[in-house]
Amino acid sequence: MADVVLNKVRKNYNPSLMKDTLRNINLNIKDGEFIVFVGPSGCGKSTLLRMIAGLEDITNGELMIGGQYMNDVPPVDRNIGMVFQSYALYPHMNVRENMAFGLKLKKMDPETINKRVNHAADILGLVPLLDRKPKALSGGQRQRVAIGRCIVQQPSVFLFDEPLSNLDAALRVKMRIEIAKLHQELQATIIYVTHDQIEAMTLADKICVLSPLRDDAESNLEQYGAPLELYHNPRNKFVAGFIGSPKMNFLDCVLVEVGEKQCKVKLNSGEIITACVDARRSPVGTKVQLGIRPEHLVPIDHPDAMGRIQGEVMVAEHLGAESFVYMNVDNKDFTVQAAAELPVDTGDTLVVGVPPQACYLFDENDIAYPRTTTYNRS
Amino acid sequence: MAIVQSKNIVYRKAGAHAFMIAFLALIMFPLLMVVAISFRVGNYSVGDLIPTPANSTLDHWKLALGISLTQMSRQSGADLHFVDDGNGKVIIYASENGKGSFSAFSSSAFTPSEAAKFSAKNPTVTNGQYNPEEYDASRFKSNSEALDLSKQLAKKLVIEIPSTSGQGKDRYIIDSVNRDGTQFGVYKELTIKPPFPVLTWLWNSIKVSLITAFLIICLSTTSAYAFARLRFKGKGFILNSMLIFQMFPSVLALVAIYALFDKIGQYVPWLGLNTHGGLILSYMGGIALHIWTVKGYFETIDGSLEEAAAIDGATPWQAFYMILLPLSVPILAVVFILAFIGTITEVPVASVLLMDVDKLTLAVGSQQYLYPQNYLWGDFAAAAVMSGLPITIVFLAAQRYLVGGLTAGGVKG
Repeated sequence: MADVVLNKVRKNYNPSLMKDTLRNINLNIKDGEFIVFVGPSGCGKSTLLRMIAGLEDITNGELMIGGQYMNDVPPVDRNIGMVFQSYALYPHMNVRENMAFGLKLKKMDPETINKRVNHAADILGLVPLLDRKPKALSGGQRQRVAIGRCIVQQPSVFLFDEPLSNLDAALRVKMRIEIAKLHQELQATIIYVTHDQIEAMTLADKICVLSPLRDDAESNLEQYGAPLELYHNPRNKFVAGFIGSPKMNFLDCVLVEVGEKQCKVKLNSGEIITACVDARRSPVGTKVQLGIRPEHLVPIDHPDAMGRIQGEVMVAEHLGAESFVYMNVDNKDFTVQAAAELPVDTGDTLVVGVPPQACYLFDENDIAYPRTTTYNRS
Repeated sequence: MAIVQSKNIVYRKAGAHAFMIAFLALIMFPLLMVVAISFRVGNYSVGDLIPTPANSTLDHWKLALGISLTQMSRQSGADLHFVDDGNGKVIIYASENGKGSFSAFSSSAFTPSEAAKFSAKNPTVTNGQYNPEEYDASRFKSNSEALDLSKQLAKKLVIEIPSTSGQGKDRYIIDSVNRDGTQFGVYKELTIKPPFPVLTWLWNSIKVSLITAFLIICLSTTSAYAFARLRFKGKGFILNSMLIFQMFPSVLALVAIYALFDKIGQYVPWLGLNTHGGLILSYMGGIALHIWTVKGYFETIDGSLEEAAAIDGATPWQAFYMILLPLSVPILAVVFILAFIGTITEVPVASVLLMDVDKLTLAVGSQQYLYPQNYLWGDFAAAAVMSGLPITIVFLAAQRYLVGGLTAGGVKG
């Protein structure tokens, strides 16, 4: 089990183009932590994972695993195990041989190999499948074989590259729980890449949010912290919009009053909203953006409601447990997560209440103002 | 297919099938012609497609397989007489017009009761001599008696006479000279030895082709691995230029090839002119197309399999040998077949590099049958059909490996 430390890591695929994929990535992953790299497509999270694995070289910066400098060490000596998005099982070998392949290359004695393979098969429920070839396995079974292939090597760091993206929705939920259980049982350092922020929120000890690198940006690591930290205190608009499903709503507004514990903003419609945000670093009159999560909006007669937002309903989705109402507010999309029986239809006007504790605020450079409290809808 | 089609699909299918059958028949026709030629009496290229029993022989095949032929050569003008030697025995006397001549011979005496024990399956051999003493015509048996004796002895008696040239023996046999069996004459047994070592040629061809095909697989798979998986400067340039240079047939470079191998032979004897090693080396150059084929196949195999192998601890060679090659078996079979066929049918370079008759390959050697004034089509055809046999066997053996779905289940999506 080992720490993974990344120090000012930079990746550039094509030096002549002068376009970095990753820049100034600094991470300190403690032994035994479950870290998730999230971000939209093309942000470099798989590249980062492959650099830790040794499948890509590191242009600049340092990688340390277990305190040792690993930039020039080949994958096999880094003591890592990797589960690929496509599982990458050897099709011409059966499950047992797939799992034993790495151990055979290391010239271990057959007894040890058998012991480890059987132990891993036990943990993963693969014992009846040991003699089957991959083409005779279902998607979930193949994935477990891929995980088993890692476990037998007893690595100090497990790397998962979007392992659940090829599974159907129900299986995805099941395997998510299996992976969480595996983490508890193995107590290993796990680095997990996904674009699904629900997987990130449920599995991670800490989440690392990456964004596609803009040319002028200092780094494309947007924020690194615990899931709820990212939920309640996102550092910028990107992280705020990425974490949370459905996406946070953003409205243009102007700062009209600042204070220590809260501030007031004026929407384009004229509505004044109070927000529990410390906006003192900017003067009154600054153009800012108000962020409000769909799940935090309340009916106007709710005791927490202070501000009001009005919009025209475009689509209402009724899911049984709740409803999602997609509105048009100030010519922008606005999502409301409401109680199941909310009687709205397309074309209706809907007014929702905004609790001040639920507001987020972002300046012209998309950097968040510090929030003074958090909110949970009762 | 389950797609709904219009009604006339039945007629179109029937038409397509009829066309295919006709086309196949057209393709098979030359092969059948060659087979027919190899069974036809004489060395003619025209004749019936299906050999009639009267017009067919195994002679060409016997020569091709290294079996000496025994032909009966009619000694025309030699009369057959049976002479009473006065001691109850009969002597056979064959001469021209009853007079002694250089071809006249007589056998030793035998009694008619002895003659009854002769059999055609195991002809009795009796000694004779050339230029025998003359007999007076009164001792000759009558024509009817002679006819009876001839019928009795036909094919059952072989007269062996020491050859006038001093080497070996001449053998004569009595047989009928017309269909009804009313006239009998003397035939000389001629042994025709196979002029060329066709079986040796076949073995040479198989040997050279198998080794060449195997080496071509080794070279082209390793090269294709480099082109498919590794990154290096000038990759595209090398690939394209290789292909373009190989567009020129090797025939154009025959003089150069001869000079090259002449030189090589001075330093490395087993790779020089007139060696199989040199021939195999010259075939090693024709791998550009195979490299492209194998490279294309490697690119369909997901690279993440080799990455997983690298993480498991495999060196690039181990990843190539233990993961990539087993999954590429179909394309290896294809390259093997193509290389084998290409080598076994190759004539120009082999004819330049090989000189000794014993070293020739079948493709080159069978051309020896085509004397400028006398194309021996029958023997040539037998050799040609023989060269098709190893190719057929290789095809049948490789069928097993031409399987699909080898990478199923390896990667998802």
